[in-house]
Amino acid sequence: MMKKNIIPTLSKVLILALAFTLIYIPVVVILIMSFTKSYSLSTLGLESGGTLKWYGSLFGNNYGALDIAKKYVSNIASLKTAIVNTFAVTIISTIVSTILGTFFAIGIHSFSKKIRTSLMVLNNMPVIMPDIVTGFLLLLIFVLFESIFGFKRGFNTVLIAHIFFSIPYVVLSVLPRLNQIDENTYEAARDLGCSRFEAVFKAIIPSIMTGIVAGAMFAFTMSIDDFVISMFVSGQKFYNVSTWIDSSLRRGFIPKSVYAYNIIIFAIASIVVVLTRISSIRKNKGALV
Amino acid sequence: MNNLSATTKVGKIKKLKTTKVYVIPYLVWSFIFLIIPVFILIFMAFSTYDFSTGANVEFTLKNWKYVFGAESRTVFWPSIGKSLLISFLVTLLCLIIGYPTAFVMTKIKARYRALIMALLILPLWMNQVLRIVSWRTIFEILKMNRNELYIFNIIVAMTSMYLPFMIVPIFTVLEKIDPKVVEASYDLGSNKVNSFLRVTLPLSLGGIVSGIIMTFLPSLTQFEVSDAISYNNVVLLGNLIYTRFKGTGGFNVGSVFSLFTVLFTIIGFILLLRVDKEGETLI
Repeated sequence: MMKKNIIPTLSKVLILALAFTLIYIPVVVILIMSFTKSYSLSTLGLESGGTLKWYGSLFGNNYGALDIAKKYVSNIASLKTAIVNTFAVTIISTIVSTILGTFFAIGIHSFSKKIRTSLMVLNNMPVIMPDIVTGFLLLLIFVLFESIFGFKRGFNTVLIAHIFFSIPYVVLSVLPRLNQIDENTYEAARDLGCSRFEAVFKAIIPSIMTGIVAGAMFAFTMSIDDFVISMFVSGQKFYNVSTWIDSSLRRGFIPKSVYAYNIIIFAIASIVVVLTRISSIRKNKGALV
Repeated sequence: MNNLSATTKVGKIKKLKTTKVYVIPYLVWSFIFLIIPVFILIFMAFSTYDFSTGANVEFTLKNWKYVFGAESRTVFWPSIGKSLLISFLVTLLCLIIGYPTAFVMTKIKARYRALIMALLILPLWMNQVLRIVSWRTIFEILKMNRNELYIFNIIVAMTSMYLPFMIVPIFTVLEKIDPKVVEASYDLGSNKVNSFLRVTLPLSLGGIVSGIIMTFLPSLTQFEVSDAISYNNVVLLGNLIYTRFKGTGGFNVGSVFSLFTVLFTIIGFILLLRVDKEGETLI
């Protein structure tokens, strides 16, 4: 069946090349621009020469090397705050949504197929709904909270929003694993003297661990890159990296330090993902996603 | 014997009771953050209520008249038309490029397949706003930032953004197809094209529908791409919602616009429910 014809092989390579070129063009542009001296965003800046100053500006307080107006320095300070905000929101929302999502999935799993399907519709709603609608709906409830309880928009509302849109991905990752485990696992644990909670923690959770880890990775990925929903619910003063870039863009100037920041994050993610892939290939458990 | 089956039955009921409880906080959570807001949205669209003043709880069709009124011919319909056109073309391009890519990926050896899959998802770690801006840089370099090319540029940038969301669900479904089924069709006298059209394609329908929904709906409501790439010159449905939310007191008209996207979402949902009840192809 596997005839080694040149034309099919060539067309296979071409289609992969086309797809990956389209997806990777922005990545390459960001990579190049993070290393070039020019401030301009309308060229790659190749003629201006290379520099590491954008990377340097992310660490320490020595902005002398940047050799520009004070406006830029205060920009970088606010970028650092935005980075801290992003990680605070992402880490907390990943932990909370992984725990909640896992329990929801266990709950959903114990229902009959009919009820399970309607629960899954509820679960999948935020996944399918465009971000702008999710953002607008959450904004409405937060504005209502604000007018009733004086609940101000900022870190809290962004965190709740991120937990909200992350949970469905955790549920979707955990459920297939639950379908795979033996239905009697829980009962066996109960027969052997486990309490209800112990049975869940000692028998069910360990056997669905790969699903939980995949769900957590999903939640982290969705949260760290979220822009639209954060934009809607963050109020006037709270910025994460995405909304910070957006407000810089609307003011007409994006400092290139943020390019450097993104390349660092991308590099870390690449290493982590490639390592987990390789180890999962070795264990022969297949891909995580 | 009877006794034994009775105990297992009791055990099963117990199991269901204990773990079913975990759904309750989930239902409360969804009720607060999903169901109530939908009702607020409908309420806002049909009233002039303003959260900041708390005044004017009055039901009216004013917002709808505003949207479909005198200005609709210059604002609302052109935006909806452009949005539908752009998201249709983006989805089509993603499908034309994405399906063969997913198909080819399933033919790669398992160990490399996992790596290629990782490479596909990795760009999502690059900030999306920055990815959009870098497309603008490219169009700037290519001297393509002209009025008549803006829509083309937007389509290219969106296709690049949403392509992974088309490839992943199709790939997931294609990978699950038992190769023996395809071989069986060969044994039964099918040629390659025929067996693809009659076996592989129908079996991958769930992935295609998921992929279409995951590209069509977000591209229909995108506002950042059109803002950045066209320097605010192209106004799409997403931009209409976004500006309403930015300006104070625009929530009512914004809610009318949002209801339109909710309508498209519901259509997507119904389509998805027909092919994939538990949403397993979504990720």
